[in-house]
Amino acid sequence: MKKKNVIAAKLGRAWKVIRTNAQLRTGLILVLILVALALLAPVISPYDPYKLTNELQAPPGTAGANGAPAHWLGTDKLGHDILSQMLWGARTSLRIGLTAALIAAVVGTLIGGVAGYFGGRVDKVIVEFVNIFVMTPSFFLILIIVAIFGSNMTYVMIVIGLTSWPGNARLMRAQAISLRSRTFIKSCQAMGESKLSIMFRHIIPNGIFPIVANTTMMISGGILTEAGLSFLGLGDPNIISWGQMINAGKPLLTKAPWVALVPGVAVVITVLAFFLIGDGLNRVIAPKMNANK
Amino acid sequence: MKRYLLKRILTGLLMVVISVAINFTLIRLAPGNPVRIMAGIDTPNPEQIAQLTAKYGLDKSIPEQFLIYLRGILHGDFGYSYVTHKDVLTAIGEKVWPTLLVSLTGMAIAVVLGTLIGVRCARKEGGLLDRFMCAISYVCDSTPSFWLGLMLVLVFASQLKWLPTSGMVNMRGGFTGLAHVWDVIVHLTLPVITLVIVDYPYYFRIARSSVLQVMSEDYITTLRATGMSEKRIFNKYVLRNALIPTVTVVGGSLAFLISGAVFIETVFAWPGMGTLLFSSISKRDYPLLSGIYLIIALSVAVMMIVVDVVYSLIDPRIKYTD
Amino acid sequence: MALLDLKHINITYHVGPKNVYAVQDANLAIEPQDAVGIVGESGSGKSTLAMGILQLLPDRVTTIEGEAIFEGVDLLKLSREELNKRRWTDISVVFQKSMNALSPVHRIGKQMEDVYRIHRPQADKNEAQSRVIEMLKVVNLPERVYRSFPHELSGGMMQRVSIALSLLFNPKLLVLDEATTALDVVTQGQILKEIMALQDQFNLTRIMITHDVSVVASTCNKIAVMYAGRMLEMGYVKDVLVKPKHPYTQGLLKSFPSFTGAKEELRGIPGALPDLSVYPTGCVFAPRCPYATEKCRGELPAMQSVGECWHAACHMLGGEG
Repeated sequence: MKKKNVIAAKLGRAWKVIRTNAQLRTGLILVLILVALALLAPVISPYDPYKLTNELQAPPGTAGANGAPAHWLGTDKLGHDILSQMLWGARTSLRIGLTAALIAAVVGTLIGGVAGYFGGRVDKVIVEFVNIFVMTPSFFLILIIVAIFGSNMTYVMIVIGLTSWPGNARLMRAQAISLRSRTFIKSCQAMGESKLSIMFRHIIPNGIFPIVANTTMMISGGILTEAGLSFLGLGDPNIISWGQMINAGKPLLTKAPWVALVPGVAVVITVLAFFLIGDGLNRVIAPKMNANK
Repeated sequence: MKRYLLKRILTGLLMVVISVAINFTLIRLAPGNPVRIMAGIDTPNPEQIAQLTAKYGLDKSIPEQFLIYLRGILHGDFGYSYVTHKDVLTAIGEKVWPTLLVSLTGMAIAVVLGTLIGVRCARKEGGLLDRFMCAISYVCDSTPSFWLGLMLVLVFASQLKWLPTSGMVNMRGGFTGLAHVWDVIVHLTLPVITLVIVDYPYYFRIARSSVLQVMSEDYITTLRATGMSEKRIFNKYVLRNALIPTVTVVGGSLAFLISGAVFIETVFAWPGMGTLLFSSISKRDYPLLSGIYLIIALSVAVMMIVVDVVYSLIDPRIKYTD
Repeated sequence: MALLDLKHINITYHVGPKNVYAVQDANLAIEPQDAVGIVGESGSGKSTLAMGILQLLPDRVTTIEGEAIFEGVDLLKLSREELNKRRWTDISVVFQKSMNALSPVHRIGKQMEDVYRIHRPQADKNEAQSRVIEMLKVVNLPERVYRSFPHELSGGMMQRVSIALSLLFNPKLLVLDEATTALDVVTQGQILKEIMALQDQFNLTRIMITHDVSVVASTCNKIAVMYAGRMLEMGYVKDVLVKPKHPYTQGLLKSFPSFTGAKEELRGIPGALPDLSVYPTGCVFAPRCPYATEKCRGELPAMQSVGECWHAACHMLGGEG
């Protein structure tokens, strides 16, 4: 019962924060809509996204043949219905963004937590390692790996995740260092709790908030990176993604501008949504300061 | 300071060697045989393969190849690009200037514009311009550069026909002298505008938040209490303190200038490093790819050290004693 | 005539939809050569009062009402330029966080010279420099401080720099806002002693803002006690700190060790500061006051005279009601 009250109080506080923070509110609403559209894609798509209709490069609003649904956002060169592709593409973007950011969050938290909490030589080695990692041009690395080892979507997610953790590691390290000297951690040590246990049960849960904010921002980064790779023709050919749609629209720019326009707008809105949430969370953490990178 | 610099240079070098080694290995682990691509046909005859393999040392083990490669670099030999049929350094040298031209111009304008707007918005925090710019900067920050480039091409080149769609010069123009310069500027406009729109929010936010932060510092209150005019406080004390973060991030961005150019160059068919990089990937031109990577890694390492030095010059609180 | 006469000063912060009544109806007269200590807990409005008179609070979120008559001129009605002319030559301040009192990227000497030139625009380089070095010597700092950066000095040294800076133009009134709070006890003692010496040397009138009654006891002749934005008691230190009239002052003194050395029970005042966003209808101290009656909760007590230059605002003291 008591625990329930605590949770209710926490939810109440969260609700208050969401209500008063315009960025957070806008971002959350946008993300909820996007997630709903992505989940409902199989139900609400007017066409099979792979179906080659007879209407080629049809402008938005063109009626379908023989009583088929209209192409509200037009069709591409091969007659794919763009609205249907957009809905399925939302799944790709969200999945890649979330997975990559989660991988980066887990790796970054662990490495940063160990460095900050254990300190000493471990910390020194990890810091140098992170510095080297920060200095590698990560997009270049992603480009090479994907180009050479094939552009399977799973690869893309993992590679983006594994190249974008250093920011999280730095944040977590700073958190761990400041938490380490707090009384409640000292008393845990005095009671004989093991270092690893303290790290997982106290340091990480208490220091995770900035990582959450940063991870939300990184969802944006992941989505942008995927879109970029797909635009360069390095996307997974077996899936539908907004970046690939933009790529497909590039040669049609003058004849059928909507093919590139529509998915681009979707990328902007999605990236913006997660960016707003991350920025909103950062403002909650440091109300006086304006969030920046 | 000297010792610190020496240490930085050593770790920088180490980092370059490590990342080049990883990259070198990665490339050679890749599926797909470059010899086939070089031979130009899918099923070259065995003699051709053997001859090409031996010529480029592809028959040796990866560590051996790496050592040969390193030894070559120390002698200024970065290898031979077997797709462009040029020395790697020459191939890179031809393409690096166009990239620097477009990226540096874009970045310089983005930094100046972003900082000016940021400072101005911070002075009138919460005002109309401030709220408007903050909202706009979120959107600009969320826009993929390649897509924005396409849209600008659509509007200003295809529809309005004010500017050329792609390339660096008008191939049929054959301009020389001032006409040539003007031609390049015309071609440069859209790529640079794209870069500025995508990049300025970063500098805008840093300048804005840093000015706001400095204006709330105690020493600004002290100066106000002494009767110093707001103008002098701002120009001499606020700006000097608030621009430190901008200078550091500019250095960081300079380091990654080259690898960031891929998209812009692809969209605008700009004949630079990005395009070269991309074609070397798709054609598996290993020596060229490694060469580009080495150059990027080196420039990052050098820039990071430069940033440290500049930082210690503009901020007396930074003293490197390690 | 008083050097500075504060009449009905009200300072309100506007935080979002709320108003915070940080200073309410403050009246205080400061005579030349006075050393007035304004004492109160954090949040009592003592710093706000000082910053408000000097107009150093952010304009957008604060309103100041009332009069602050300095040598016959109301400081609150001056234009920005007129005020800037009087700042530092008439009134100067030593701030709380001396470590951040100067720009971290400019040399201390250069900053002080810059300040010197605000009010002596024709001064040449030598004049400014020699004045700055002279002032550094006055506060017992070595000459090398002139070429140092703030982060190169200790807290105590930076505090001395702040004092040197504040004395640059022989101001008529010096405000010290928690000027020694952040320092260790030994340094605090030294600096307080130096301040007392400087007071005689420069004929200063001084306001000490502090939460530490012992600082007031040892360095001031008058005291004003503030609580929750209101002045509760004021008078000579020798009266107020010996036989406090107001229950809050009594409580405040009990929370400090006795000055006479007698062993008395040391205790704090139970309860916490009231919500300053609600304008009080009764005595601000009533919720924590051991003697509070219905009248205290319903009616604001007026300041009344309880001795020579001695005033307190409490219904218990009889007076008009």
